[in-house]
Amino acid sequence: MPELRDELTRAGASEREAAELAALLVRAAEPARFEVPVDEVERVLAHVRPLRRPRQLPRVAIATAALAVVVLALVLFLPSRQQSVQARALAAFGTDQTVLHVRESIFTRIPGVYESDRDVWLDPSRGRARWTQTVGGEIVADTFVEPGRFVRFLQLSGTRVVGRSCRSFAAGCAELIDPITRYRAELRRARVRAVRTTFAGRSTYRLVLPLQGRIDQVVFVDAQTFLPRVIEWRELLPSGRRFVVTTIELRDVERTARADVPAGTFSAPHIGRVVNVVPAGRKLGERTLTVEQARPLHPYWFGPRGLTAVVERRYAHGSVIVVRYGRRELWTYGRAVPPELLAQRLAEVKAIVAGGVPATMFELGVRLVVVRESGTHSLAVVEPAATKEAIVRDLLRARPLR
Amino acid sequence: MQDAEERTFRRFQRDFDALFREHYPEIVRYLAARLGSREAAADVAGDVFLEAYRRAPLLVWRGKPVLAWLYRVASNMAADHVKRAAREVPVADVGETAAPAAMHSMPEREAVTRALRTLPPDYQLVVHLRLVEDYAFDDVARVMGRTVGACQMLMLRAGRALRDALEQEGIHAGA
Repeated sequence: MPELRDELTRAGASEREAAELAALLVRAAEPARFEVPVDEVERVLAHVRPLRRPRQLPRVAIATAALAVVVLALVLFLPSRQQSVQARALAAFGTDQTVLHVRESIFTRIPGVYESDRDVWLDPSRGRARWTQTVGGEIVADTFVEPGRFVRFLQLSGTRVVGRSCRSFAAGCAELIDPITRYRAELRRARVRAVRTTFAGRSTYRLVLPLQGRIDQVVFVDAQTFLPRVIEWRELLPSGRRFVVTTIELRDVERTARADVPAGTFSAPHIGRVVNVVPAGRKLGERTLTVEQARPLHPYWFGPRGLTAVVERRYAHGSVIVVRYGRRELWTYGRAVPPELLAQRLAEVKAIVAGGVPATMFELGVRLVVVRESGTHSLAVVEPAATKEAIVRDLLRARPLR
Repeated sequence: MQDAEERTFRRFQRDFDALFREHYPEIVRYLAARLGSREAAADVAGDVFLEAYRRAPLLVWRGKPVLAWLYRVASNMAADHVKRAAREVPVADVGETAAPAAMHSMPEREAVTRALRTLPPDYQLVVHLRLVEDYAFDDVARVMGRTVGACQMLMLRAGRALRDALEQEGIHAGA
């Protein structure tokens, strides 16, 4: 950068030093020269744009008047209005007999995690759901769930994972719980605060509802239809700040009478090699393996560097190979799902798509876990004190030992 | 010139959306460089603009653009974030730090950006404004509230400090 070199020379550097420092500074600045996409700008703007404009002069008079209005609204008007918004938001879904067809996009703020789209059919009164998950227009998973059975076809591995309940699936198959279902349940249960606002230029209500534990949900509801447009799941950080971990954009919510649902909608996928998954059951013991002993089992690993141990844990219904790098661990398992991965608290599990494959992320005590299931050769990365981006990076770089 | 700048200042005071659209990307880039994380940068940038929403209409025109104020708030929040993170987040993964060969295999580029983050905030800001946002030194001086000569001197010191920091890690800038 000749200009910078000249500027540094003018500031007192010799020509040689100026050239050296200019090259160094340009290299240091390079990683920050990234573009921020326009859609991200608009999305964040919609989230940070506060609800009311602050007033300027005369501040005292306006503050007093505003206070009076707020008090009056709280005493006389607001409770009924809030309840009305909540009731209408609930009524917008129809009755329990109504079948919902939802098209949604899911964004997660973790590098390496893809935006994914889901086409979801929900039949609440019969406990049935069927949805396809796509990334860039390609189907990555097709799932059907009904009481006592779930079936999921995974495109990448070509397997059809079959289980008797969510409790036999990693993370309690948290991704089976549709955001709409969670929102609707809380609408019924919780007392909701609704604030009139605008979202992407349209008049909306902003509702804040609990979800579970440290996570709440902010839902932007269309002021005309009272159907949700965007759901944000926010995590309460130790600092007290709320951090949006997942944004679900509901592109379309359609209500349908059950009789009008297309035939075959609520049926299980029927392609792919069937793998019946089960909880691994009681632990029977464990033994340390050498790399050569582990090689025929093809466990996931990062390579020999930094490898601390390879351990086989044996359970009643199968075994798990744990490859350790210090406190980082890669667990490889087949149809027997390790007990630690079962039945996590649903709301605290994030359903993501990493490397084109559905995965789930959750906390296990002080450890962070990300799981990529395939039915036959599933991988869980378990790391203490890892960031979400670091653990996704590790998930993507793990490879089978061959 | 002064009138045009003041008009822009007033416009941004009135129109938060315009202020946001104009300056959010560069504040995110600045914070990403300061914090070393795009995710954290977006989080803190949200807070910077919330503060802007509350405070920008009350700012008094003193010949400096709103952007100067945004960078000051972003810098303070970045410093707070780093302090908090140091308190709250346990040390990095043991598996990585325990490996003695890790430093040697780490790409030089990563070492350079990490070294940049150790520099004083005004050094980082001058580098960002000039080399990431491509502002001329006249504009850098306006944002930083210094003379052009002072900003150029700051850039030179930033370069030397960066070179020294790298040399402490055994990396030579000329290499």
